[in-house]
Amino acid sequence: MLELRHITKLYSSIPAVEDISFIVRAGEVTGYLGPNGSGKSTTIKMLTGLIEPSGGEILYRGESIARNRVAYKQRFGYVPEEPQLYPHLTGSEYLEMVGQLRGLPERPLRDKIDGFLKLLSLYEDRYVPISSYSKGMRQKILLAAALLHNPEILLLDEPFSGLDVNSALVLRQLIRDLAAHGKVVLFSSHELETVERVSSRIVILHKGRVVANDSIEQLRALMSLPRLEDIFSELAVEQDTQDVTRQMMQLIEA
Amino acid sequence: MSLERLQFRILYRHFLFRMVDLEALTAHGDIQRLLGQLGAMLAALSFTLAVAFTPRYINSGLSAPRLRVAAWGDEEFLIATTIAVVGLVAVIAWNAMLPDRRDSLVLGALPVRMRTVFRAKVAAIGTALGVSMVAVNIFTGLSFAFLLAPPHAGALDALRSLSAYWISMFAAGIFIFSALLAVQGIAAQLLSYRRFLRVSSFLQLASFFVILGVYFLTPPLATVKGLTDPANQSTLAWLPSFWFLGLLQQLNGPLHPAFGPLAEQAVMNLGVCSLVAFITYALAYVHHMRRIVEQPDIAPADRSRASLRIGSLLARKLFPKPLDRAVLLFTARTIARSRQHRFLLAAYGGAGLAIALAYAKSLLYGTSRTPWYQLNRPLLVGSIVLLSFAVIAARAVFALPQALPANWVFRVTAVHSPAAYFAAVRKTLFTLTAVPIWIISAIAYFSIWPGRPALEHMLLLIPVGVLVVEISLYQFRKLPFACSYLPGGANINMRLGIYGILFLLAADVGTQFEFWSMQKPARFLVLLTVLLAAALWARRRTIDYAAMPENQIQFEEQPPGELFPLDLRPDGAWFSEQTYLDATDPHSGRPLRARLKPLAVGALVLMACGVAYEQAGRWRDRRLYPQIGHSVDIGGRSLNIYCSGQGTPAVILESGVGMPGLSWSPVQREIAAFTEACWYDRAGYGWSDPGPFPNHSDSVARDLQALLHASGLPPPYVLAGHSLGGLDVRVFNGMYPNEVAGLVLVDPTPEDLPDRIPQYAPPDWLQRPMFLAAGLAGELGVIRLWAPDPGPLPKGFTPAEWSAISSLRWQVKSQMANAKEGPLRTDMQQVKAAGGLEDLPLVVLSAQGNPDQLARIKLELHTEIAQLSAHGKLTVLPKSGHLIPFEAPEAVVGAVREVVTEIRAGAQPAAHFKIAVESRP
Repeated sequence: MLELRHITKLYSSIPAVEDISFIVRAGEVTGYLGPNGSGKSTTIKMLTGLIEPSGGEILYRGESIARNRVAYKQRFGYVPEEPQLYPHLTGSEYLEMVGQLRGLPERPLRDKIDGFLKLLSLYEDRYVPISSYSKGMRQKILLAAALLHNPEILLLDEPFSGLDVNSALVLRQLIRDLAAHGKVVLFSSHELETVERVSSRIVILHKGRVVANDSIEQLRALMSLPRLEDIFSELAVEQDTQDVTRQMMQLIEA
Repeated sequence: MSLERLQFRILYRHFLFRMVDLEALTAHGDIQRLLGQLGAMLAALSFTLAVAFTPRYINSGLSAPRLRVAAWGDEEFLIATTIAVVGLVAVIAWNAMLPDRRDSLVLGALPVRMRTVFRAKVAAIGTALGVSMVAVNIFTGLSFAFLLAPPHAGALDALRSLSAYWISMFAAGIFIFSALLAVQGIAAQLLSYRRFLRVSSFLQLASFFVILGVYFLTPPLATVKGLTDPANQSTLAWLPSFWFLGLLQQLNGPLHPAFGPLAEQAVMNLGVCSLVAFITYALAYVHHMRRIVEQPDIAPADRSRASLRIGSLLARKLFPKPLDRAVLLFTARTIARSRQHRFLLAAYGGAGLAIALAYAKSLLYGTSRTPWYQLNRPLLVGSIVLLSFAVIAARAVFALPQALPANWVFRVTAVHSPAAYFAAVRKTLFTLTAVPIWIISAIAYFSIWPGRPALEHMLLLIPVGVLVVEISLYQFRKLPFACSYLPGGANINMRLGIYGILFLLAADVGTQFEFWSMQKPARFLVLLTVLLAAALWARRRTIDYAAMPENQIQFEEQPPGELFPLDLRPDGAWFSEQTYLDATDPHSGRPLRARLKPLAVGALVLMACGVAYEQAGRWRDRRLYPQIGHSVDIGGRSLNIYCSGQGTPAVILESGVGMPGLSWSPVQREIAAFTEACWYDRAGYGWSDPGPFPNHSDSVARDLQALLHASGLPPPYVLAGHSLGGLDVRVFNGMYPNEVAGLVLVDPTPEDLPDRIPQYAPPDWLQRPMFLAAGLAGELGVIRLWAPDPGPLPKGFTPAEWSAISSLRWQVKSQMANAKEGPLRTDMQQVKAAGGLEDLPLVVLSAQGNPDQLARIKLELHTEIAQLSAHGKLTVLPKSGHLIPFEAPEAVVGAVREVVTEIRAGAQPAAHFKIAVESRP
């Protein structure tokens, strides 16, 4: 299991996340929710080691990930929030590079890449540079890159963004199956319906602090609200949506 | 202001910025500053040229028409420079000339008329073109027009000269610009957008190399002969700088009929190119922009290409580690696909190529002393310059990022130690730069040069390549194209220029040294060893640095901002790389002893090699050069003497400093025809045993007397002494006056020379250190290594004698004997004390072949010496240098003959002093 203990991240002494603690258990899908700017991506980047926490500790299987970063990096797969890829490489080349950087042997890597590309309907475009890929195609490449080495931990930051309905359905099932195979899965999303269907546990972040951390049933019962959307609105949405839309209409027509 | 004018102004600024926004200039978005920087850079070039050329024309003393003829070469050079500069600006702005996808997508959706876009683009191109042409001619344009105008020319003449210059330069600039635009425009019309994009970048590179190649290889034909020679006409027809030189001359008032056709060609080609450029350019706005939107930018690569397959197979075979392969393939693919990176690489490569071509020019036009198919310096420099520029170019390009936001993938997959990444980067740099240059050089050198020099140069090129790669990677903690970048990081600055000049000096001197070392295998081995040691050291240093535990891969040029919340650093400077390096220098904590140890071990090994080399050389010399003459014991040690001929008096030949007796052999042979003649080796020289320290003229005289008596040669003798030997024989005469019948002094060292030239004789205290140094250097093989080739064979010597002399001169024993004999002050005092020339037959030969101050003073002193004897005679040799036994042996023979004849005659002629000037060559 992956545990965050009192994690704080300050940017120029302004906290992005403050004293957050929760546990992502193996065999479970943990949904990570929060409005824009609440610190979701910051947390996930700290879990990948891309940025360092200003305070607190991250433990995997009871050991701080800072103690042996290399070993930890071999264990997780990461899908970042933005599909930032090297545009001059082809999809196949990009996956090949990621596999090689992870030290995967040539032959099985090749087979794995071809398999992923076929299943994700990218095989036809495997020799096309990523610069001409659509957003969804790039997202699929990110997903394949995160899964190439059969990681124990999956850190998925908005993995559904840009995916078509078909692929989204596949991914939804895949996330559940990966958890069922004992993987540690943390995924953040704004699509509350998907999160509700996939996750067994929910962590809600608001203004850099954890405001909810429980199983979905527990949350429903606790808040006496039937849907995740309602729970989320209650905990993390401050604005009156109707009021904001009314003001915007006025501005457009001014 | 109307909307259209406003749009024009905005677009004009935008387009201009995109055209001249070079990495070489950093204007931080300020267009005036950007243009100012570009202009200043080019104007600096113009100023340098004006300063370099002006002195040739002021006070040239030539009449106005002849001055104009003399200026053709410089004018052609200035036109060629303008063409090259404008051409390079056009090549750099290549992608900004035609409308691209960005323009189409952004402007297509806005209410902007196509003609506004077109006008703004043309205006921007015109501005960039105008600024570069004016700037590059600003100083030469003014100075040339006035320097070449006739001395009493009126304002009108000066104005004509001025306008002719500027019209020609503008015509040349517009010609090259429209030619390049036409090439691009035609390609855009004929090809689909996708294909055009691919072809366009190759056209850009090709144009770059053609411009540089033509600029640096243009033959020097701007002379009457060059322009009129029928053999040159086809060359001239292909060289634009000569067409526009023709135009300039015609506008200035025709001087030579050869310029007419050239000027016509200039006008015609300018017309054709600008017309084609304008039409295709206008068409580009009509057709091209729509096509851009409709067609995709990038086509799938054709994976069936054999080259790609071979490439990936090679990568798999050569780089079994997946990490190495990942870095290599990423680097190769980025360079192959990113225009920006490729272009920067080409710019460096082009600079290297230009320098190599400038060196090779002398080979091409036959002005070099050695032909291209023999070992020659231009081709040696060429490969070293290309190798270094390739490595430095790749290293510089590595620092330029490709897609910064995508770098996260390297971070989250960093499952290897940083040292493994740095090793992969090093292998990549080798594979992409040094190895291809090595292979190409090997093919080139082995196919044009004989095997040995080709092999030797290749053996040297390998450590040089390793050295350049390792030095360029020292403290480089980045992955290629995966680190952020400070704007203007590659800003051309003074340092780069100074380093460039230093590098070229080093390459030049280095290849001179290489050329010299290739004359002898031992020298070559020393150079190779030193280079190998340096390469290994550099490699060790880079690896040690990379393996430091605190070393991390650097992804950010600046540390993350939150470390400096108060931003207290001085403007423009951030926590310096140096601070980091100082803190992590693996050597900073090591004691001096540990640091010196490898140096000491290396020096000991080198010394051992030197001793072995010297001993082997001596063994070889003994086999190659068996003793000529025989050894005579003079009491515990022996001297070598060689005699032949019959008759009395016997003539004994005494060598100058550093020379074995064998150097007298042609003289001795001639003298032996009329009397017995001997040369001998003074103590330590030739095949004689070493003598005492110091060995001044008195001990030399004692040795000689003992030798002559032991050899059974009956006195009296005629002694002939060359140079220092002149002092020795005079002291002999003073010590044993009854044994000397006559003297011949061959350009002798005058005893009063230090009175006239105080610095002539080195101070006495230097004698022992020099003796010890000679001995040490000799035992370590340094003298043997340094020994020059014997040089051309002088007349009278056999080749065997000549190479034996060379070997004997440079043997350690001789060098030590040499050091024992100096300084000459003591010998000179002994000579002054000796006296005894009063009525001795004496001829003094004075060499005046090099009429300098020394020779003049020596002539005066030689006259005084000859006057010391009532039977003295001075013979001046106006064509011989100091080494008379080699340069004019017949003069020595003649002098000896005179003295012998005089002695044999026995008559005492009337005492009078004679001066003769030898007129024989």
